Amino acid sequence: MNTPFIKAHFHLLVILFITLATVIAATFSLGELKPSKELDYFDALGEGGMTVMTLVWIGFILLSRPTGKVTNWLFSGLLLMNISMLLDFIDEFIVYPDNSAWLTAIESLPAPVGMIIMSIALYQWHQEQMTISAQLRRTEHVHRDHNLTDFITGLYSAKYMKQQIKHQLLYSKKNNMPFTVMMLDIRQFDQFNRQYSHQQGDNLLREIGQVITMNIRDQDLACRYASDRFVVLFPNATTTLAEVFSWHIENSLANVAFKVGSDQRANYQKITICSKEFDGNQSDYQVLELMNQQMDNTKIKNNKHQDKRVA
Amino acid sequence: MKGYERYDEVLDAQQLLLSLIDLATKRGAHPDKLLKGTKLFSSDMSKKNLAKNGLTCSANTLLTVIENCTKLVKGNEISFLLGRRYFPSQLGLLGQALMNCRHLGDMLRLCQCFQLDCFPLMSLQLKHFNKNSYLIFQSAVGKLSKNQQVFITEFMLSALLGAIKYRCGVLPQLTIHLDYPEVQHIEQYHTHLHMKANIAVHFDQQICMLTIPSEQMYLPFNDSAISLKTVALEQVRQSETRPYATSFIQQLNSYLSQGLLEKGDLSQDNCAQHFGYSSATLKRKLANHQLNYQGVIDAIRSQQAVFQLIVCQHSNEKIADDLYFTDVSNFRKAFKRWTGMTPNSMRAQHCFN
Repeated sequence: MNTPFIKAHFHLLVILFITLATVIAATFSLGELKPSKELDYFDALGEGGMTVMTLVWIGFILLSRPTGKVTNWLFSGLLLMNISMLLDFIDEFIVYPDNSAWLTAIESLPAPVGMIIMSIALYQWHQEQMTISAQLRRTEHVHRDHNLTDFITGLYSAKYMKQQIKHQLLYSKKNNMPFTVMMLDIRQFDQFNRQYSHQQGDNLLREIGQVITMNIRDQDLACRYASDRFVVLFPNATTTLAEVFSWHIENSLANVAFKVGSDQRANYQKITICSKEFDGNQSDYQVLELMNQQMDNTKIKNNKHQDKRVA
Repeated sequence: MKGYERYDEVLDAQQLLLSLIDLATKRGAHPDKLLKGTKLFSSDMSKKNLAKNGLTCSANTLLTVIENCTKLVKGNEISFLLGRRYFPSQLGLLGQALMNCRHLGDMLRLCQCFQLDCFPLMSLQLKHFNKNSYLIFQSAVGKLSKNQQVFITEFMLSALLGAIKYRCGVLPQLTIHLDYPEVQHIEQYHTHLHMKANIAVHFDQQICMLTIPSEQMYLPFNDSAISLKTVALEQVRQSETRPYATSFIQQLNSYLSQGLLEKGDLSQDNCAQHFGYSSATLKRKLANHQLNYQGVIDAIRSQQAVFQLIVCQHSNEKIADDLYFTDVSNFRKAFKRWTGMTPNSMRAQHCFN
């Protein structure tokens, strides 16, 4: 498992460890063990389970979040709740002498405080999520599923696009609104790979993916199709509009000077773009099938065009 | 000559295993998780250890890693990438020899002769009919899981198509029959295999094969140098210290199909004797590959029948006669048992395609 964050949380881990150790040490030094026949195992099991689960949650928070304010709030809230549960749990095994009875009195106090802090933390998490979603616009449509992302480009994969096209087809049919799908193919990507290594090819794919997302509207969705192909979904758009966009993308790609590794030379890429309008009477499978056919036809046409110019 | 088996440590790991692990790692999989179940660790693959031991692996190790890979890496892209990068750079000296072959048929023959160095997991069988050549794919290392079968077929196809495109310049019109149902990741077939554009792909068939026009198969390349090929092959042979070139299952298959054609004695004892084993050893070896003797014979006969039916378009009577069935109704019953459909319904389905 990749755990780049856990090292950065060293101080939080120390705090967690010291707090839990203090609580356990304090309770055991103040109280005495109960005789075993007085133990209520059923209760102990439930409370112990709750303690362990909150500890697991703390673990996941530390594993999956970078350092920062929201993480600190989440951590403190969960830690306070965990202290309450731990006190409750130890309570099952220990009786306190009368002069230490205050411990039982305050044992439930950290939990509500922790819950209030958790609520604040969740509110801030919500705000943070809104910011991240804004950054993800054009690459995500309402639905989120990290299993469908493409590892190389960071865009969503063809599977996600298929789902979105399915939704779009239903919507289009109901509201009688056409939508357009665009397919983009990098020219001579094989040659690039052979010349500069596949690692660089992967980098190029990522950069081109970014250029495409820069040139589309907020409601559009760009995904990686497969190999050197990308696919973009334009809801409520006709071919005319898509053609304007394809001109924009072509233009901006022509000005992207891709550098291979630390090489100074600029590498300009050319792409083949085609787009097609749909009215919602096809299946999602047909849409992609038709797009591929269109792409092949466009390629053949382009090649002929080039041959003519050479002749 | 002895053939390699599923558990023999004879595969050059550098060629397939390492590049597979490399590709999967770059797509977010942990190398040790990829190697789970192989008794190997990623530290065994380090440069130092490789220089010391010269890593070889068994077909089973490779199959396990393939299975892990299909589960761990999202996107189903790896098999195609592995295939596209395979020829000629991954094949070393053999790649050089392949580059200097006279025509596609010549290249194919080399692939068959050096199965272990080229495509160790699947064997290629070449058949001709009318003006077409048919390349039939078959597992060379026994029973495969569905994931492994799809992965290896995709790898072989993209490697072969890559080589054809590289040597011929353009991809001719080809047809592919696949013996598994249509996959979810059809987009990879569109882009990597040029499905629709040049290649017609039929899923859910009873045979796995690639159809090439014979004319294309024997169209000479202009830039091949026979002398270079001879030198490269000589070097391959010299560096070859292993006594294996083809797989045991492959040898068994060709022995049995020859026997079926000539209507020879195909009892298990006779077959074991031919390979120099006792009947029990043969049985054990087959069990290692998760196969049984009658199953192997049935698979060969089924393949011959399907080929005659959909390619040669022979009548039931002719096929039954060629396969030495006593009558047509016996053939029809056997066919139904092998493929799950009657000869006539398969014929109808194929015409529809």
